[in-house]
Amino acid sequence: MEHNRISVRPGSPLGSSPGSSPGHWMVGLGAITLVLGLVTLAGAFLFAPADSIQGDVQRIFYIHVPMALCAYLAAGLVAAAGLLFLVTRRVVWDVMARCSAECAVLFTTLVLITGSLWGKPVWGTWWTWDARLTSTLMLWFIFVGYLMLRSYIGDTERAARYSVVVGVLGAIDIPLVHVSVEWWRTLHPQGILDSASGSPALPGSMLVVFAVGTLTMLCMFGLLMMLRIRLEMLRYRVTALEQETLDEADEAITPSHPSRPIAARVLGDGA
Amino acid sequence: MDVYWAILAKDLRTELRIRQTVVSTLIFSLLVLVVFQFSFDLRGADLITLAPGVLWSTFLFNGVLVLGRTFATEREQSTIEALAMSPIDRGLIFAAKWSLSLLLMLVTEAVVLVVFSAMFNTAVLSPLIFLDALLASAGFAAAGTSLAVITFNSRAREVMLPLLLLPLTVPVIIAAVQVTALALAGGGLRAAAPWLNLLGAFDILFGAVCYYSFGALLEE
Repeated sequence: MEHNRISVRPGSPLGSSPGSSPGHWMVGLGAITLVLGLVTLAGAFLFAPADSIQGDVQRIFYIHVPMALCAYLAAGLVAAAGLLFLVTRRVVWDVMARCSAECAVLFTTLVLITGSLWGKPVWGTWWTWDARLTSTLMLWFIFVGYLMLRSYIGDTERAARYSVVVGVLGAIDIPLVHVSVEWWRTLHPQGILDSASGSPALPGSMLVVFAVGTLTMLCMFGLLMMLRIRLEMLRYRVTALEQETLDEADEAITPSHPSRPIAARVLGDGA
Repeated sequence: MDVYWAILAKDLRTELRIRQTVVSTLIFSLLVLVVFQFSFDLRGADLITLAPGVLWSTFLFNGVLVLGRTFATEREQSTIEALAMSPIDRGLIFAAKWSLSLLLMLVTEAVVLVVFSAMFNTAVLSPLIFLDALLASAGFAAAGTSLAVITFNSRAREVMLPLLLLPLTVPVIIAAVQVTALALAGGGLRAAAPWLNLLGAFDILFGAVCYYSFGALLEE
């Protein structure tokens, strides 16, 4: 299967040596994320007023909703980066798609957990088959499946192509899932939840904290992506270097034979 | 188009000679019905509420099995490489495989509907339910044909196919059950129209994406 491995092209943007400018960027972004996170926490607990009906429980909203936004953003990025990979065949796009799928699973999991924490005191139940909850759960299933598939096929160029299709199907499916689940709930009113349809606009102080919270999560998402992508690119470089060393050692022992790589290819495919 | 017919005819001929898919999946589907009968004791008023779910769970299990089998012979004989190497439009290979899966799914679904209507004395043999089965199975088969190729090379492929297919086809599952429920409740085409439109939209979107992306799956 070695021939199938994706190799890093020299000059791909994130394959550069560690400690160069990407590193500084990451430290900077990390510092910004930390400061923003602290500001969000202070804002959510000290600055924003308590909700008149839900009380303090509502404060989870300042991280819950930004995480949901990041989850959708990550899901969109999986499809977009995947398509860019198909067009350009640059490994960095595939790596970005995969890391984005990991972030999508992470944020969706956190959204489901924080949502349950909020739901228990407000709705009196950890879970209800409300439209938005159900479609978020489906999003989670789709991207968990995506990551499982990737780990089951292995680090091959084929895995990259396959996951583009799964990612794109997942992305176009999200609106369809949303519509179907919404209709399913509307046609069968359960009266569990009086949705936010009638809620008034947020007061200014809440809106400010919410904006800072969103910015924090976006920075966090960016930071996680940068760290993961850099790690993956370094891993590819290590594999490529290992392969190079092995090939050199191979050639030193036996003079290269033109038919050998082809035989290896055929055997590799059959395995 | 000749290519499409050639592949479809080849697969149908194989299927007719050895009947490896349709018979086994049909017997399996009937067994699922029996299991549901033992689980829910389908009678009277319960029957109308439970029938759509029972029917569609059976159809989905059947669909997953059919889709898993569509490429099984290609895998066992390694003929998928031959298909991938031949200079033909990849979309047509997809269309042929999709038609085959759809056809095999519909055969079993038709038999299950007849058996269900006889065994449980329910009016499931309505044109609306046939239309529902056609549209829903078409979408399910479209997503499933691509995913069958994708999971083909994966470890644990028997699990991976439903694991990817079911969450992606949630809109189909919901819409199909709703249309069947409406039909059993005496609703007409008008009442079911939004759901049928949703099924149509899913079929077109997924059909188009799978048709155009099939080349990326077969490229080696």
